[in-house]
Amino acid sequence: MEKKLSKLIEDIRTGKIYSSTDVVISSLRVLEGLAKSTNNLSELIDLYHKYLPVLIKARPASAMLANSVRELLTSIVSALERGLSFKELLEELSKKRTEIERRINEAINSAALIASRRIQEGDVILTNSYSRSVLRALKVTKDRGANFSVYVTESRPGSEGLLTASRLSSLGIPVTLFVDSAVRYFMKDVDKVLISCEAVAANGAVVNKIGTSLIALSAHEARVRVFVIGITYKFNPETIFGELIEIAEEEPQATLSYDVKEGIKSLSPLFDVTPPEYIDAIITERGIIAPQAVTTVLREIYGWPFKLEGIEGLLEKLENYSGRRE
Amino acid sequence: MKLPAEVVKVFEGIKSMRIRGAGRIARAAARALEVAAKGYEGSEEGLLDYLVYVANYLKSSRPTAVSLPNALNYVLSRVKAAKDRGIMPLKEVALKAAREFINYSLRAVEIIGEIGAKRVKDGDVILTHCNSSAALSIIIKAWREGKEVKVYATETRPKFQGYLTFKTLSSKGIPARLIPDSAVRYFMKDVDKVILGADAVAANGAVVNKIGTSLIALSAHEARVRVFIAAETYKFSPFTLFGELVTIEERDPREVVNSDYLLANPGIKVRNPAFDVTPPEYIDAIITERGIIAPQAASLVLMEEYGRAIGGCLIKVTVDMEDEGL
Repeated sequence: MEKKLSKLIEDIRTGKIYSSTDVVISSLRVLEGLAKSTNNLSELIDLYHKYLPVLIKARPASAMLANSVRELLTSIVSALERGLSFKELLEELSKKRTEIERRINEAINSAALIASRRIQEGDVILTNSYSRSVLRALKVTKDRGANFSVYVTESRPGSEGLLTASRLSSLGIPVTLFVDSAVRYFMKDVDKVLISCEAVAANGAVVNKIGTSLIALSAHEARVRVFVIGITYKFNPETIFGELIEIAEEEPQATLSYDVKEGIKSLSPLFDVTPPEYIDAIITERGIIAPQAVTTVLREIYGWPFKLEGIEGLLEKLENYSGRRE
Repeated sequence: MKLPAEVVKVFEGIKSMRIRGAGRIARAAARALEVAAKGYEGSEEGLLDYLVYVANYLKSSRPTAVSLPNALNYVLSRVKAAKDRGIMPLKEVALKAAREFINYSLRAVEIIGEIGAKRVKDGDVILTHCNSSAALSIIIKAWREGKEVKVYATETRPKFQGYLTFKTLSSKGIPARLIPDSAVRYFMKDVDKVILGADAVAANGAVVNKIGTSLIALSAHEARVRVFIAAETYKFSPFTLFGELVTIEERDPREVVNSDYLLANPGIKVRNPAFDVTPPEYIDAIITERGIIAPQAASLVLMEEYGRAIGGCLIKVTVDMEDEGL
């Protein structure tokens, strides 16, 4: 199980698993498995102490990863507070994991349905990277019987746009694929940009695959609307306190697909930040909001003033409950 | 009429992009005309027709590179003028004109380096795209003058010409980093100047260059970073003075994805435009071998360069070439 988690962390870190939803769902499942492989609370706490910070660090920009791990840990702490046995605690953990997964899927489905209402007959939609939310929204639209076509960028490094294009094409949607640098060339033919995100900051800025901010800038120039599907799990509450979202830079060698890698020095950030002024709306499971209204949604979820426990703090609490500390 | 093997080789080289870059294409075309003239054994009367025939063949290799017809016209217009005035032997005129063009072109890149380097300051961070000998000439000249510059080179999909730029810079000891095309906006805040080449300059100052150029210029404009275009005057398109559009070449999709992907996804249309058009408002200056000009002054360069030919040689030869149906 530990091996499985290490492999997963590596795949997340190098961007091999791209979709943030996939990252979260597989992480939570492995965390559950890891807990179940232990014999007592002390072992579990040791492993979580060892791996949770590394897991979060593998995808520091992912608000959904941090938020859902926080929720999982909170449920363990609460189980301990209620004096449950280790076996009961594991059951609680399983239940929580299933619940988070279900809530994420439901949220994506709701947001996708709302997003699909913004796609009109004959639209040309531009998207990048690989996103479960965007695919879902386009599938719902296709199922409704609408005729539209989709432009997909290759999305270097990683080139997961190729996978998106394949998936869309297999749904019978006409797809056009091109390199990332051709975005402005094609923007004049585009009606709407529909993208997903990794995180939404308190000011409405959106973190997503590198190149997204260029697409949004180009759309803004051409007066093409930009819609971001971002379920509230992806809203980053810490940014309210001024925290910056950390953007990981991928191992350079992992991104090079050219035959001559020797001696090449490259820089390759995985994500970039799109400022709120280039975003027309963020589509959540609760409805469509202006990027400037993110704070309102955060207040609704976390109350005001915020009640928010950090992952470090929760691990600390676990430690206290384990009885290992006097 | 017979085409010399070397002419065919140049044609194939330009078409397959073994010979790339507007300057190199222009010189190769002039050299091919030189070879054709040298090998010509027909009547004095028929030489011009033969050269026009060869030129038409060469011209069809790539539609966008304006430097190609300009180089051909440089030679043809001189042969035609000599013929009209009864200057003999025409073969000598053709050989001399071709040589003259090649030397002029090589010298132009050098002069552009000297002029452009004056605009580079010590410590500048420069961003460049693709593999432009004129842009590199500026950066290398500045470096030789002792200016400590750093360069971001975009990898330039689909053909990764950025790797060549990286290697050239590295071999001179210039610190360079390769970045994906999609990361341009992410790094733009660190950039002082953008220096790019051009495949063609239109009469209104719009610049046709490698796909992605207009996106870089837009991003620089947003960040108030200056954009310089390094372009020899033979890249200015005289035809645009008369309202003609520069044709944007779309290349083989297999440059973007492999054949397996195309076979597996017959529904996906892969589009591969080789160039895009950057509007003059995103360009601060065009650096030519005659000096630095505002993009809006492009028509002045054209008038000066081809003014005497308007209604005369250039147009006539061009029309002749068009009549060949190529």
